[in-house]
Amino acid sequence: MRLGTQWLARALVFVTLSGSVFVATTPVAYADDSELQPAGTCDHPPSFYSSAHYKIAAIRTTSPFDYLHGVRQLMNDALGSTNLHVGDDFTAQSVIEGRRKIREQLNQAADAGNLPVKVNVVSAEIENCHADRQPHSLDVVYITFSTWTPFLLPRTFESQASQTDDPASASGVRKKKFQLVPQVGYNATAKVFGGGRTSLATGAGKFDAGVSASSEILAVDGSFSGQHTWADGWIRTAEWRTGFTYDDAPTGTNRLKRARLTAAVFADSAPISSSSSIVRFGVLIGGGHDQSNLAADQLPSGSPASSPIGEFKTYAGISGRAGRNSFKVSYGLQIGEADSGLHVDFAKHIADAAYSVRFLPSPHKPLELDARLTGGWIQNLGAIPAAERFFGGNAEQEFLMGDSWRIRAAPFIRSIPQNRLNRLAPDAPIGGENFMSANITLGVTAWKHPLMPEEIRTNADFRSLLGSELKSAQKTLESYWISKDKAVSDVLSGAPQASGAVRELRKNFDRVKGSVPAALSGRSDDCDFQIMLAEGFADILETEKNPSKRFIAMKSLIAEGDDGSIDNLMGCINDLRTLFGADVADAMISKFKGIQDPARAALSKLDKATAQQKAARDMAFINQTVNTVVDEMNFVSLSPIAIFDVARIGPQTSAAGGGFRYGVGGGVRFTLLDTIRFDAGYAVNPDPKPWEGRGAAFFSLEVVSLFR
Amino acid sequence: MPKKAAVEHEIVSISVDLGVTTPDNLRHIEFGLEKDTGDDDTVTWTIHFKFQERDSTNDSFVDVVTLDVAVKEKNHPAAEATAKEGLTDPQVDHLNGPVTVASQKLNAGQTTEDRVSRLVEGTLPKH
Repeated sequence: MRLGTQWLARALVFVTLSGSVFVATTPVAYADDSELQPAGTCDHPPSFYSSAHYKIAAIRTTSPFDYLHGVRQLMNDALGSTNLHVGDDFTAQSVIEGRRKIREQLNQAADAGNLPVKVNVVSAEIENCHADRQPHSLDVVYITFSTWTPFLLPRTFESQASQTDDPASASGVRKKKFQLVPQVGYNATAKVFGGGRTSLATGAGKFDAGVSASSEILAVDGSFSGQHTWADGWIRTAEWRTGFTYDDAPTGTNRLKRARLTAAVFADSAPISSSSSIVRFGVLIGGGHDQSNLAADQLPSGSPASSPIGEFKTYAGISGRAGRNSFKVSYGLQIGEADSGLHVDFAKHIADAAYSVRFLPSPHKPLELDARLTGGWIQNLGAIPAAERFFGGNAEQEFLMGDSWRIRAAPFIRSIPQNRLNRLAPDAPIGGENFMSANITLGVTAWKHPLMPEEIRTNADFRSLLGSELKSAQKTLESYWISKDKAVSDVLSGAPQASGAVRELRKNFDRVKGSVPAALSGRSDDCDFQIMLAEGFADILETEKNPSKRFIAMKSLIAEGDDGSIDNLMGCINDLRTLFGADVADAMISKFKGIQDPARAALSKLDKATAQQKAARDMAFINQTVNTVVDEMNFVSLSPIAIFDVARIGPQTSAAGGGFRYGVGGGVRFTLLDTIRFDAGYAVNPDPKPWEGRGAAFFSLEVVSLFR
Repeated sequence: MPKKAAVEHEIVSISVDLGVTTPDNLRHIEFGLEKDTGDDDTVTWTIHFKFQERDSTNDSFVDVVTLDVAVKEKNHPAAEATAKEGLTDPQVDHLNGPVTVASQKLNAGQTTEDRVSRLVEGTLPKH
């Protein structure tokens, strides 16, 4: 409910954030061309500019992630520790030094992240070379791209959703222990409202508190929560939360008030097998009071207008994504007792499904489609408090307040104000005992400011360098996975003979190395090194328990012509044959060949295709992230949106309460970092009933999947 | 006379760095290449190689070897190709095998940095 009413304050945060990037990515303007040295262009090698004493007019740093204070600060700190200054004579050496410092800092930051794969590209360029100015001048531009930076941002649907109340941290812009976000807004039910949210992170947990108030509504909540994350195991994150909520909101002519004290435990799983799907589940117990001013004779028998309440809630769900598709399906069960004594008075069931897809007809201009289908029903087992009935409208209501997994718990329709979808009959605005609602939103990006700076997007070398490094990472992982093939034991079957042969060669070599003639001394030194490497492989074969490491050692021994390989050892034996003696040399070569041939045959039978598949799977998320950043991600974008909603509460006799209600409309979507999405618009009620308006303005804020 | 094509910017220096931790989280290999054009327009290529290992995922990685290797001019084309096309299977095998073992030998004082540097540079012609 609060989500839809906090839009304005969040919008203010967006404006602040977007301002920082525009400053960082000021486009470069080039001057007029001339015949030989077009002003502003740089078509000479560095020596030309250093010998002509060009002055450095500006030093800029550019990165897709320089909206992150940490990245920008890192690059500026790196440059601050060099001898590169505006106004100095340009020298390639000082520019190179700056590039090295940035590289060093980026590598250190990446190492701290402990990520499986990192790629850093740092380029130092000169541009805006002006021979037409006195003194001659040029700009120095440092461009960086790091594949690991996005992983510092929240990366799962769930972790992002948990930060809905804090768009700035959801976008990775800041992480503070104490936060205070003021809010002000308007909707037809609440009228003009104001309030704020604050949080304080401590070593023991996090305190959260919020308040929204107007002449019509009051919503207050507070909680203390903590979580633990495991690196391994089926459960990845567990969270506990205890707190209170109080809501007081009108439903038209009546009011609903709910007060709760709750304690909850939630957990989510590690990704299921190789997919990105996770399972989430949790339980909550609570107690409090529900109040309404509905007249008792309006309510069905056994439905008290006001009542103390105890409740137990549990839920489970699954979410996942594949390519540009993402989905979430959840089921929630609430068991409640509406009076004193231990007995179940009602059971509320909620089913909620969401699906999003994103098409990319052209780079950075996505077409987004979001669909949601929600339904619920209440089993009357004795009494249903009025406040527990279903009241719908254009404000989200959540099944579990404060949980990062958001399950919609009431009908959502944007053409009807908050809580006003409540009639079972013209004179019965008492809320429903069942409901369904379906919502579709289509957005087409009309204007965008890509995250990737122009200098990088248009640099032909950059994409190939980035692609080559990702390819290298995949090759390295392929090599690892081939070492995990069950059939490596066949390759290793000759390991004892291989290490024995290497030891024998060393023994024979040491016997003759004192009598090496001058003409063979260089070759002898080289062979000494080759044998030392082979001994290193033999050490691993003899002592290492890890089969992968033993396999890599054996593979190196039988490699074609590589250092320390049997090929090279046999070359040494042949070259030093006169020293070893023909019989000894032939015997050693025969032994090595007898080891090498069957091992190579076993190596050729390993399942390389499966290793490639596993490496591709390991790299899929990284490649997808990089491609998303380069080809899709916008820092800010504006999109016209079209919406269609349908909702109904029941039971209704002959659609006396209006039956299915519809909402059709449009508006605009502001998106920050393809992560924080703010929709505003107007939805028309095409067939308004006498108790309904012609439509309603709607606002919503969502934190969505960053890398789909 | 035709106009000379305008070159808006000139790359003076560029580096690409790759770091990969094996899925068992016991080994970490870094391979980087940088290309610099000096004030006399001399192009230099440098390889950065780092190998880290640990016995258990509960331990921190320990640097086995960190090397910065100046690439000989004859290997510049291979460096360029490696930077633009990525590591090949033989290059990966060379880094995983001989270079890793030589790094351990260097760490144990059984060989020289010069030897290992040449071995690392030997990765490039395998492209």
